[in-house]
Amino acid sequence: MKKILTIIGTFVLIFNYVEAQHARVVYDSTSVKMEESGLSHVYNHQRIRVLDYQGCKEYANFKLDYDPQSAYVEFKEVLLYRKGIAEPITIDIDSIYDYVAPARLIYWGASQKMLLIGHLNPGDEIEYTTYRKGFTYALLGDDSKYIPPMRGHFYDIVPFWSELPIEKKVYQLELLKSKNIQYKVYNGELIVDSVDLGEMVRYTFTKQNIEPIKHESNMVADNDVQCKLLLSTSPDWETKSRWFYGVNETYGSFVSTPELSSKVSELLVNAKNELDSISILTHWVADNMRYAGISMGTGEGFTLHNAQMNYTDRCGVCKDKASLLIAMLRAAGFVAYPAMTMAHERIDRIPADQFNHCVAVVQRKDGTLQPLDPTWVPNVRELWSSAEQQQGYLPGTPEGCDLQETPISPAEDHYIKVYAISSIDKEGNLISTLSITAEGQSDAAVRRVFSSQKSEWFNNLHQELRKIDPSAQLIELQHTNPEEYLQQPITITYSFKIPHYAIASNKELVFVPFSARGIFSRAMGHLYMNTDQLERQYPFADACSRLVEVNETITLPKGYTKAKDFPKDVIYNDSAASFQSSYALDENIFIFNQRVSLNKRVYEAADWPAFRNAVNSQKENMNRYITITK
Amino acid sequence: MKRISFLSLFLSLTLFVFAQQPDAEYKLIRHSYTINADGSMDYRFHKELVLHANRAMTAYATNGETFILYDPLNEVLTINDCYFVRPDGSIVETPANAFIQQLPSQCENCATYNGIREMVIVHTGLELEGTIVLDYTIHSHRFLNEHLYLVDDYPIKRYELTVNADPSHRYFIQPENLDRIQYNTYGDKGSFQLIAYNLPKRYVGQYLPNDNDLYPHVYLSNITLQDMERLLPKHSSISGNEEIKQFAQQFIKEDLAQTIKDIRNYVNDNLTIAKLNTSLILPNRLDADQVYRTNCADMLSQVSYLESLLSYAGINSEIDWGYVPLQVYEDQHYVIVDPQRTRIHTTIDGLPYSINPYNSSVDVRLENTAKDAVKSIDITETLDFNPDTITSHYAMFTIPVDPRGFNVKFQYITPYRDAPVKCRPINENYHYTVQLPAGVKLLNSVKKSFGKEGLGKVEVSITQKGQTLDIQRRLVIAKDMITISDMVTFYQIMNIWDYTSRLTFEL
Repeated sequence: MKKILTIIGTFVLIFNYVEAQHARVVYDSTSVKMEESGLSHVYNHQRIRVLDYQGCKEYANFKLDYDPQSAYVEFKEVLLYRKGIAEPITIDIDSIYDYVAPARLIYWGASQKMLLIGHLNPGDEIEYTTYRKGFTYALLGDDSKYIPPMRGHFYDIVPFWSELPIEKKVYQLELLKSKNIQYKVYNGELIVDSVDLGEMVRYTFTKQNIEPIKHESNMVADNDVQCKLLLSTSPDWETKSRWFYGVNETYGSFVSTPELSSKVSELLVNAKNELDSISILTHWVADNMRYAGISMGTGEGFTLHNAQMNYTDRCGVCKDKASLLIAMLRAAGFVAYPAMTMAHERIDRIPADQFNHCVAVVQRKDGTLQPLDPTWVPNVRELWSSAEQQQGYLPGTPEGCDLQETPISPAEDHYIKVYAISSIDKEGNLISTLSITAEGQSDAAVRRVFSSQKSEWFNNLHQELRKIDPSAQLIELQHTNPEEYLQQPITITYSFKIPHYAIASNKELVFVPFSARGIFSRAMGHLYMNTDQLERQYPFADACSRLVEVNETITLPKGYTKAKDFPKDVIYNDSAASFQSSYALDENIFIFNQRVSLNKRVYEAADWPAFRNAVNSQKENMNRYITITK
Repeated sequence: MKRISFLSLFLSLTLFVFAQQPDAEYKLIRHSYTINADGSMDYRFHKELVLHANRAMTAYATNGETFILYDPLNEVLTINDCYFVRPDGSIVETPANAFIQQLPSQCENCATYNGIREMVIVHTGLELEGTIVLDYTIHSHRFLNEHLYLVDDYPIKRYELTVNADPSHRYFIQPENLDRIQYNTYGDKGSFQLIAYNLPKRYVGQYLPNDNDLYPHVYLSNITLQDMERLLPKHSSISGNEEIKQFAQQFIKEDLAQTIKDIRNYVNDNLTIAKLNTSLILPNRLDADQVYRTNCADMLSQVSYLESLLSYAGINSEIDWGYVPLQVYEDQHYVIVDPQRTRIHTTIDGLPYSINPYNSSVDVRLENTAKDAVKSIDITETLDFNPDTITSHYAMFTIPVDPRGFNVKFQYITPYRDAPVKCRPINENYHYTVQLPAGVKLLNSVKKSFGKEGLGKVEVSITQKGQTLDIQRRLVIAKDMITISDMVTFYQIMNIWDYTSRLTFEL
């Protein structure tokens, strides 16, 4: 089981690439022996060839990560083969550096053992054998601290993919037959061999010539598309769910304190209904408990900090924020549980712990469990961030739950609307009042213009306008109070003028509707996606589903009533994405409408043509000139 | 609804000031240095930070943590006070598990500096309008080699700097740019105190001038030039290690400048560099053998190693450590080390060359011919008419400018900007003639001139005579820093320069 961490919801744009390879893995062999208790002994044997000086730099030190409270690691043997010399140099494995690893945000004392290999030259090879027992979270003392908290069980997630070429990779597991291991190979094939050893059984999984794939921009996680092996002795997700419930109930994570209960009463004094109460508590935790993890010692990583600690410290990681929310919901009379999830990566059916994030669920009056994420909703008008739609999660309940998946969030819930009322005079001067309003994740994206210090807000808002046209001259600026984000969707209204905006000849005005040009594109991540590729091999992801609506009415001088070569109306509908735009002229009133609907967060490769078409259509309108004549 | 109105742009072209409360504010920052009789030093730091806005403490803001770098093998860190004062006055003591001693990321992959530690303090119990209080001391044997800026991300109500020294030790303090702040200094032999009040927060924006030009700052040193030359010699001593020699010699090429550049780039790009404060590493610079063996160095040892590799490759060079010279005080010349000023000098074909050890993208340069910024551009040319067609009847043509010209993008300049702009003086003159095809007509001819004595001016004349287009554009910027009081005029100059750069034509 991995520690439950939080992946911060950033969206990185990358283009098709294969990482430059500075090293090559000659072989990578892992041998695991599992004891009845679940304790596993892991031996890893690798040989790596460095190919250039960058590789020499990367492998000048060799490090093993571990949590000293629950795992033990050691270097068994490290050999250095200088290029062209058969006899290896034995590296002194007693001269290790053992220290708490550099960290930001999560300060649990995760450690490293580092061995200095030293100066390398291209062509040198390093061969090492390491040993590990235990897990990556804290348990009890003595050898028992290495036994997993779900005692007697074992799981592993083994990537058979790599950013480095691997000539041969082998993973071997030996365990009691009675453990009934289940495994599955995803996204590829492995050579699988099993040997009956009497009471024990040994499985061997092998793959040769693993080459890094060519990544596509915005593609989903590597584990979703590249070859991996999942193994688990846990019979089903329900068992895991019951365990997760039990471990935190036993610890008393959600027991309220008088001080906390009093705070809950104070917060809910004006609550209007069930959902309002849930919202007040979720956003109070989101806004008032900082994301900074400190260690509770024994149990850290999988145990949720208790209410006393969370309310006093006012800081913690995702699991601790979820824990405080659960304690507050329970203090308010709700039934609430913790849940594990995997941000931005698929959870497959084999019940291995594919989790990197923790949230809460609350039982509504109709009996349904509603997920809540206090970590991802500071300044977001949601209870569950739709940046996590189409994502698996597992509530920890007394009865046990199967794996759940958050539904697609309709694009309409994440609209960004740009409305403008404008006029252009005979000289081409534009005067406009333009409003941007947004909801859901688009609201959060627009609202980020206020994430800097207050004294910088005005300048940042002004820059958004001037990014579109540096000649824009502001006349008036209004916005809703960004700090009261639950009160209403964000609205920002600019009044501005741009001298000589349109090309003005004796009888014609030529211009691009200002509203079409992508103001507040910070909330339209799709405009930054590389759409050069006609087809995709892999599924891809956007930050969230999204609806973009643009409407502009431009009053032209009297007599300018004829449209010249007007673009045709476009209506394009697909389940993945749709696009509509129209240009109309009613006497001297010009009207532009555009609607872009991107309907999911995670798309199949087959969705790409529809998605690409919608995005490219919007991009084309950003530069499409309109001619109106007398 | 927040509403900010401007009757018209140029009526309101006065400095726009937001009078709102800052997100957070330091009630007090105090730095105290005590130089003891045995030469050791106690550095004591105290801060009181009041949180006014959620942004200053929640989400992923880092103000809730403090990071202290020190060397526990040779230094002692003592936390004197660490707590949070809630708005109701109650105190939340920072618990023991909120103090984490870890390897600083600067020392990652660097065995030599694996003993350095970063004390992370996670301030707990934070609430709006409460105050983070922290007070700590580091007892060390460091030199006094500090350059302090009297500024932070938030305004500072009171800033104190105190230095006390045993009579057997001397030091020098050189404050600069204090003229624009409210302050007092006190002191006699051996002690110095500076108290400053109501310091504004750090500027934010593009094209900011150097910190030295923007903020009040103080140099503190007890290192004389003589001491420094002993600590940082111009030539590194080399052991004659054959392995290193062979390694260095593989870079040798016929082109000496290329050899020097390749060795510099190897050192700069393929060693792990621990970017540590010079006062922490100064007494214990690494020799070439240590750097070669561990593949890591600090910023000073990196330069020595480079000089050693050049020497092993048969290239004579010497290091100019680029000390910041302070004023002479009691016949002593005190200095500050600033690695960024360091250069390596060598001779190629009898001519003196220098190289920046830290920047792989710059060439080996002939000394005294360092690439000066272009100050004047004069271009007279006949251009082909190759416009971008925007409709079947109209086209747009962008007038070319020399890429060495004025370096400030207009997009980032607003008349309301409250931070100065760093730029460079320039005089750009363009005279283009363009022969237009029959029937093509310029739609936006212009003749405009605007400017202010001592700041700069713009002159533009674009006319069509028959089918000949005559373009004359001139931009003069006379200053290297645009002050806030000149911002409106500067904006107007740049606005004209920007909008007259694009011509539209009827085809």
